[in-house]
Amino acid sequence: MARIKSTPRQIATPSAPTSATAVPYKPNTLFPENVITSSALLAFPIVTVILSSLLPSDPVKILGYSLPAVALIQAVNILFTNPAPEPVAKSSGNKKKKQAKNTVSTTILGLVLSMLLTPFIHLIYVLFGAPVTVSIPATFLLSAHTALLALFPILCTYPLDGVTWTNLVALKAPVTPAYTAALGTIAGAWLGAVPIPLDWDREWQIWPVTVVFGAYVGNALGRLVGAVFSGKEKML
Amino acid sequence: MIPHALIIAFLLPLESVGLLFFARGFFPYKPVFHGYAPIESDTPPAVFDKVIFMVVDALRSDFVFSNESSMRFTQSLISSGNALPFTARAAPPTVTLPRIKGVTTGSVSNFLDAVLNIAESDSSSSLVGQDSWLIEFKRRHVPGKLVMFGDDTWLKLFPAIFDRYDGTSSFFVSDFTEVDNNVTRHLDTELETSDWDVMILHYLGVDHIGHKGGPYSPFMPDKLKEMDQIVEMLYEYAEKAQETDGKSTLLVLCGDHGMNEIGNHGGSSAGETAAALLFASPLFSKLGSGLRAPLNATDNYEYYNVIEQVDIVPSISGLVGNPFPMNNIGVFVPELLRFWSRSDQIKLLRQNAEQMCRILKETFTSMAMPVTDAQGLLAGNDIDKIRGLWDQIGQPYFDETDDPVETLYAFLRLSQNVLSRTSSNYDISSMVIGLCLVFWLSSLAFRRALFSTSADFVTKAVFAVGTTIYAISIFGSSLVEEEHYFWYWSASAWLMTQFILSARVKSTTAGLILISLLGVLSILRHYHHTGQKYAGSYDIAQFLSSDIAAGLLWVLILLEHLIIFKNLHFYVFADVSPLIAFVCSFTPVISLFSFKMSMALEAGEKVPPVLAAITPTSTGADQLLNRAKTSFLSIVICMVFHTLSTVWSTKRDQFKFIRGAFHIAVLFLVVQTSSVNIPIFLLYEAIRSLSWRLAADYRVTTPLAVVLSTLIWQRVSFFAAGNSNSLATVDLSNAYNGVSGYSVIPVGILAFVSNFAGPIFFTLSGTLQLSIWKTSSKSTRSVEDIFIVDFLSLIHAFHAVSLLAVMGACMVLRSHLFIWTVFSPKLLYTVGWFLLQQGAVDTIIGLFIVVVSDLL
Repeated sequence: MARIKSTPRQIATPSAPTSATAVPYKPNTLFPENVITSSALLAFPIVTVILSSLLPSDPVKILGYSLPAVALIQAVNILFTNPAPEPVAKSSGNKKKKQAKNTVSTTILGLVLSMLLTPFIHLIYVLFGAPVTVSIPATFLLSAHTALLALFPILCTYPLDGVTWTNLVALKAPVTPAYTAALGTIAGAWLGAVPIPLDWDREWQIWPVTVVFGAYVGNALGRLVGAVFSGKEKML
Repeated sequence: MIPHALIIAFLLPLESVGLLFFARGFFPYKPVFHGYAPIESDTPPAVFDKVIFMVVDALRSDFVFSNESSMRFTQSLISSGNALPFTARAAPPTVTLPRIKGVTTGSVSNFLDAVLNIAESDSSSSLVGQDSWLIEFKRRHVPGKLVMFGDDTWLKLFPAIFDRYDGTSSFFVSDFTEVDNNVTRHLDTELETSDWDVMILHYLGVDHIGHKGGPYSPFMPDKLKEMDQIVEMLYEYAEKAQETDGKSTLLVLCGDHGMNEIGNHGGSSAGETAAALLFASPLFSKLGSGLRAPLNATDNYEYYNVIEQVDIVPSISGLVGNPFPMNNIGVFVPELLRFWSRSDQIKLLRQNAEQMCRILKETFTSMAMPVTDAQGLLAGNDIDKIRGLWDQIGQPYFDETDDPVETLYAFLRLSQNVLSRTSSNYDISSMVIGLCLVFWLSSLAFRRALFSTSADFVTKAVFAVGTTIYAISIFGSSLVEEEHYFWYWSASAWLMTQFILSARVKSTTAGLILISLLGVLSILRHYHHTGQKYAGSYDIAQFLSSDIAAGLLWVLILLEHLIIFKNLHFYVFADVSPLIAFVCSFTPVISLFSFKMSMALEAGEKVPPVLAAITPTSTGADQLLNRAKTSFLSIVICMVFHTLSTVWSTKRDQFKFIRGAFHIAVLFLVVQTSSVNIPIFLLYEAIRSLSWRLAADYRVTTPLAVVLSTLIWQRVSFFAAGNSNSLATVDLSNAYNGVSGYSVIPVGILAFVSNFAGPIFFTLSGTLQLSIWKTSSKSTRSVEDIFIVDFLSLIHAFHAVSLLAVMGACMVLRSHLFIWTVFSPKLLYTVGWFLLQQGAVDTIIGLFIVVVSDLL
């Protein structure tokens, strides 16, 4: 949860005067979202299976090589589910409210932002018990994957203002697949840490294999839940 | 409020009764044969006339055999062929009393012995009427003469068997030299007199050094060298006795158990179970072992051949020509067989097998069934295999078969394996009564916690889900071993839940506090890496106790003292004049500091020279005792002053009294904490002050949320301080502060406080938070009402359910492989949590403080 919280403070602060009068969020219903979502639903279990079968051999290498592919899948998914121009990001340079011209630029901006926020996600993983001094590349790549799975779609779907993001943290935001997928990713990653200390002596019981697996499974399940309950006004 | 208190007063004792029933059925005295082994008419000739049995407590295999050891003479005995070395695997619980039982009677231990090991005054553990290789000496035609010097556990086990003895109490773990000199001072006269048949020596120094400073303590090499010199002295005696009066002497050097990487024992890790064992005598040179020594250090502590520790028993009995003790499940060590001819070897092993078969027949009724298809049986389960092998051994021409020794060993090893696995006879009906009683009461308590406490849906949901997951997790052996992960994990979950709640009421302060708490938690979880899987891996505590960090450690310790000083000054002595307040709060803090400093110096810890210089250097046991007493006295004086000043104060302030009592209690908790753990109190203080701010924000905090946080921090702090669910991590190094002799109540209290310092801290801090919440929320409820209705109900329900779960796990998994190594220690810890932490601290002390604060 905290990982999302850190975003508005980083991004929205420069445009603080305008964020108070943010445009209310409208769920996007232009595209046959369910079709796209179901294809994404298919894509991630496949990624999960491939990743988890390869991961234990060399987590850092596999996570590193698969990162561009995951970014591409997510980007394509977002491009197709978010076609309508939405007031997404504000340029911090001239402090002038500027709408993104098209979804491509939104997506690219979201991708760049989520990658920039990877160190913060890394910090949050450490706060939740990730190794501090060892496995730093693995934790960092895990954070990058988490950023792509949880943060990237949210950044492209919700406007960047304090109220919206506080509501996202408070589980009060309107339900979208992007939001539930992010929550699923967080819950999955958190539950994924459970088997590591057990004495089963399996090769996959190493950091961060189970957490990656949990994040992907959680993401897919969250997306499914989101697809079913999409349009509900509030989470809780 | 009153009905709530009455219900707790009703539930708590009844649950304890249920627990008592369960424990009575679960920890029975193991059935043993009374009486003695029949005297065999046709035994192989004795090889040795006399035995010197030298036990060095906690002598791990690598202390003797590895190339890092300083026991050069002992190693030269091995390489010259005059000694046979082994790694003897000790069965858990790896504590002294059960291990001595093991190496004398040859039986597997009873878990209850681990408890009796600590309750030193208990006499029910005596081995009167039970067979052992010691008694067998007394049963000779001319009764042998036995002498014993060292650990008085031997005197407790074998009352009135020793002709001369001098016992030493084993629980002053801070004494490294006196305990051993007490033994060694008898050697000169005893070796001179030489009229004994068995001499038992039990040295405790190595164990004490391990408890204080771990296996790599700077005191260890010198102590091992001292032990080496004693081995040399005894071996020279054996050589001389052989030459002058032709009496052959067997010298047995063994550890009763090993120790783990931090110097504790009691559990079942590789280091704890790997004890060194050495048979030495000039006679061994003719066996031609051809072993070399020392060996390179190994990670698994396995040096030379690995045998079971109980194998010592038949080996000694066989070598001196005595019958094997009745309850022995040891197997004669193969390397020692070479003293005899082939026919004598078979005879000896057959006696071993016959003796073991008597136990098998008594334990398994199927052993008595006639064998029709011996070959078919060999393919069956273990018992069938044993029957098949026994049938083969009984055949008339067995001695002429290809390899009778092999077959006998196959039988003996398998029987040993099966018998040591067989758990004791449980009294199922008593267990069921206890379980049903606790089930009924705990479900009552759980229902009350959910439906009769103040309203707070989220906390109740988290509590119910968390308690359920915890109860289920207890049924998994590795989840019990790694219980700390459950708590770190739930702590982060609970903080995250509160974070979401704070976002819902748009409280940025609360959000920041919760993120900071998460930060403190992530330091806490790396303070001690406890449990099994990652135990001993590099953590903050190891860093702080290393030589390079000594300065940092003592700066942190000083900082904690400064905080205590500040708190005493402002919250206990606030009403008196500044000068008096300064003196009154400075005195207890400085006496605490000088006590901790001399304790560290005594234990050989590295202390910054600047600080060591300002502390009087005359250490020694008496000095330490006086400083501990001074500390305790100053705490009592503080408390008396605080109470009186509250009584005389015109302004009635309930909060102020609880707060002052809390700060004085922290002083006591720090006295009972080892130096490396004192900085952890800085983290506790951080959690406390952050939680206080949170409790003051009544929008995000409810009384139940405070209670749930208290519950979680109690467990987190317990594990972060290095505790675990293994008996190995019970820390006794502060149990004798200010106590000059063993007496069960003060030592028990001090031991409990030193191990549960964190949980006690958070009980009191939680109580305070409740009164802060009451003030900030302007609630009409009294602090007593909040404490009894919310605090006690929730805490009690959690402990009752966890007690039920542990009892259930012990019941269901009673034939599980890990029942004695994982679940039984867990049951003991749960009893500690339930009766002492929940019953005594949370309920009685907490209630006392809250009620008294209102009356004053």
